[in-house]
Amino acid sequence: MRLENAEPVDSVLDAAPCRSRGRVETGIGFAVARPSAGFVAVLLGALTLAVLAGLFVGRSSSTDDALQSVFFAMRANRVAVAFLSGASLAVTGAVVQGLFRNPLASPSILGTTSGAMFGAHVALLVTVFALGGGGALNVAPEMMMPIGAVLGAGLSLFTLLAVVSLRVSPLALLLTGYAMMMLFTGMSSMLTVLHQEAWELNRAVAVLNLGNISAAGPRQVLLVLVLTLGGVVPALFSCSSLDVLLAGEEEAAALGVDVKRERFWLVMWVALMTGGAVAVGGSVGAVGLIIPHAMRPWVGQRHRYLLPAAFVGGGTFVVLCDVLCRIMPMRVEMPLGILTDLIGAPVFIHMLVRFSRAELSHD
Amino acid sequence: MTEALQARDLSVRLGQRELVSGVSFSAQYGALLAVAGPNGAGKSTLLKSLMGLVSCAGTVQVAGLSVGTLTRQQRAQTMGYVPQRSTMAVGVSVYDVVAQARYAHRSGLAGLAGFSRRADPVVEMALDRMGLLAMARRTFDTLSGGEQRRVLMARALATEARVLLLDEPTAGLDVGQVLQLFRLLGELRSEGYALLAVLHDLSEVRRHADHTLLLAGGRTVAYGPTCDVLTSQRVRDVYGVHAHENAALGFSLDGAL
Repeated sequence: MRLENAEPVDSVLDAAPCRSRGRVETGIGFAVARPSAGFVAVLLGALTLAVLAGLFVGRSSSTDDALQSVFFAMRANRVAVAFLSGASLAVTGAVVQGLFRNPLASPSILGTTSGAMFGAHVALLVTVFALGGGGALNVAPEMMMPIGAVLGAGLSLFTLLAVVSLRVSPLALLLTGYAMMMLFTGMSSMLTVLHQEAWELNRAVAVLNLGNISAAGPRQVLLVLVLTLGGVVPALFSCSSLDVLLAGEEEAAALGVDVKRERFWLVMWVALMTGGAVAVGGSVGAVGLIIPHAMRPWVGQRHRYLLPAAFVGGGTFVVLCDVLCRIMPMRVEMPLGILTDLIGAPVFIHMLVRFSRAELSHD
Repeated sequence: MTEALQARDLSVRLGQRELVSGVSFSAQYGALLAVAGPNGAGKSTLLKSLMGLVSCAGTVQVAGLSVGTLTRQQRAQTMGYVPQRSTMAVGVSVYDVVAQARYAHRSGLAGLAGFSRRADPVVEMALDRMGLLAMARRTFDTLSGGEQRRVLMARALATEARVLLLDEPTAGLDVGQVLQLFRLLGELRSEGYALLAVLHDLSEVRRHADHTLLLAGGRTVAYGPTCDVLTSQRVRDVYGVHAHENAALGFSLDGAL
C-alpha cells in the first residue's frame, strides 16, 4: 500500500491524469528533464555564427593575400582566446553557484577575479624586477602571469571558504566576496602606486584591468586551452556531487558526499579556470553570472547539462562581445571587460531583486 | 539477530558544552525507537552524530559494523536521514531531489552517470510510494511543507538504507498528514526497516513507538520499552522544567493513557 497524497484534491487532479496516460508503466522519463534538441541546435547555431562573425567581421579590404592570411591568423587566435576564457568563466560561475548554493555568486562577485588580477600583477612585478629591465616583459610574463593568476584566484577562494565554513548566510557570502574584492583591488592599487615610475609595467596592468584579448597569440591560445580543459574536465566529473551539494552541506554529507574533499577540489578547478581566463583576457566580468543564469531555464539545475551549456554559451557570448567591441564606432577599440561589465550590472540587479526574497533571506 | 543500530557511550561536545553525554541504546530491525525529551535535550544532535554530521565520542555500530570503518558512501547506503527541514537550493526538481539519494551508490569516476534517458527505477519507486509521481517535475521550493517532507522521506527511501533516522517527522504536519505518516512508518516497520524518530508528542510516542529513549539535558533519563519509560511521574519530572507546559502535557498524557 502506498501513502496517498496529503490533500485528496491534489491526488485526484494531479495523479489521475498521470496514471491514465500510462506514464507510470513506461517509466517517468518525463521527469528526467533534458535540454531539448531545439535548444542545443540554437546554442550551436549561435556558436557557429559567433565564430564566423569573429573571423570575418571587419575584414580588411586589402587584396594582398599575405596580409589577409596574417589578419586571419590573428583573428583566429583572438576568437579562440575569447571563446575559451568566456567558456571557463561561465563554467566557473555555474560551479560556484552550485557549490555555495547562491545564484548570485560568480568569480567576479566573489572576488576570485580580483584575486587572480592581483596574482597576475604580482607575477608581472616579480618578472620585471627579478629578471631586470623591460625586455623580459615581452617573453616571460606569458608563463609567469598565469601562474600568478591561478595562485591569486586560489588565495582569494580559500580565504572565502574559511569564512563560508562558519556557515554564513547567502547574503553574507556575497558581502564577503565584496570584501575580497576590496582587499585584492586595494593591494593591486598599492602595487601600482609603489611602482609609479615603471611605465611599461603599469601599462600592462591597465590592459589587464580593462580586459583585453586583442593581443592574443598562439601561446596564449595554448595556455588558456590547457588551463580551461584542466579545470572543466575534472569539474564535469564532480557533477553528481555538485547536484547533491545543492541540498546543503549537512544533507549532502548525510547522502554520502565527502563535502570537504569535494569543496577543496572544486575550488582548485575554479582557481585554474579563473586564473587561465584572467591571465589571457584580463578582467572580463559578469560572464560567470549572466551565462549560467541564462542557461538554467533551458537545461535545469543538473550540472551535467548546465556545465556543458555554460561552456558553449559563455564562449559564444564573449566571442560576440568581442565582435561588438571591434565594430563599435569609437576612436579606439573598446576594451572587452568594459562591455561585459556594462551588460552585467543590470543583469545582476535584476537577479538581486528576483532572488533576494526567495534565496537570500533563508538559511 | 544483529542490532540495526547500536550506540554505546555516545557523547557530543561543542566547545565547552557537552550536548550529549554517555548515551547508549540500540535499535532493532522491524521496530520504531522514539527519541523524546524536552527542547534542548540533544535529540537532533544525537541523530546528527549517528549520521556522522557532528563528531562524537563513543562507539556506533550499524548492521554489526563500526561506523568508523565505513566510508561516507557506505554509511549513506546503510543509514537514511530525514532532516526536519531541508536547506535545498531554489529550482531543484522533486525528481532530482530524490535522485540525490543515488549518489551513495555511484562509484569512482561515475560523476557523469545519469545521462540515461530512463528514470532511475529506485527513484521512481520511492516517488511512487510517497505519492509524488505527479509532482516529480515541480521544483522543491514551490511545494508545501507537508509535500516537502514527503519528498525528503522519498529521498531517504531511495538510498535503500534499512535504518532510517527521522528528525521530528511530524513537526508542521496537519492531523491527516500525521496519521498518514504513521501509517507509512507502520508499513516500513513491518517490512523490516529499523526506524529511529525524534518525536515531540508523547501520545504519539506511546501509540507508535516500540522502544523509547527519553533524554534530558543530553543525558539518558530512561530507555526501554515505551510503556515502561513513559510513566506519568517521569514525564512530569522531565518536562516539568518548562512550567508553562507542565499542566497541559500531564493532563493530555493522562487522557491518552
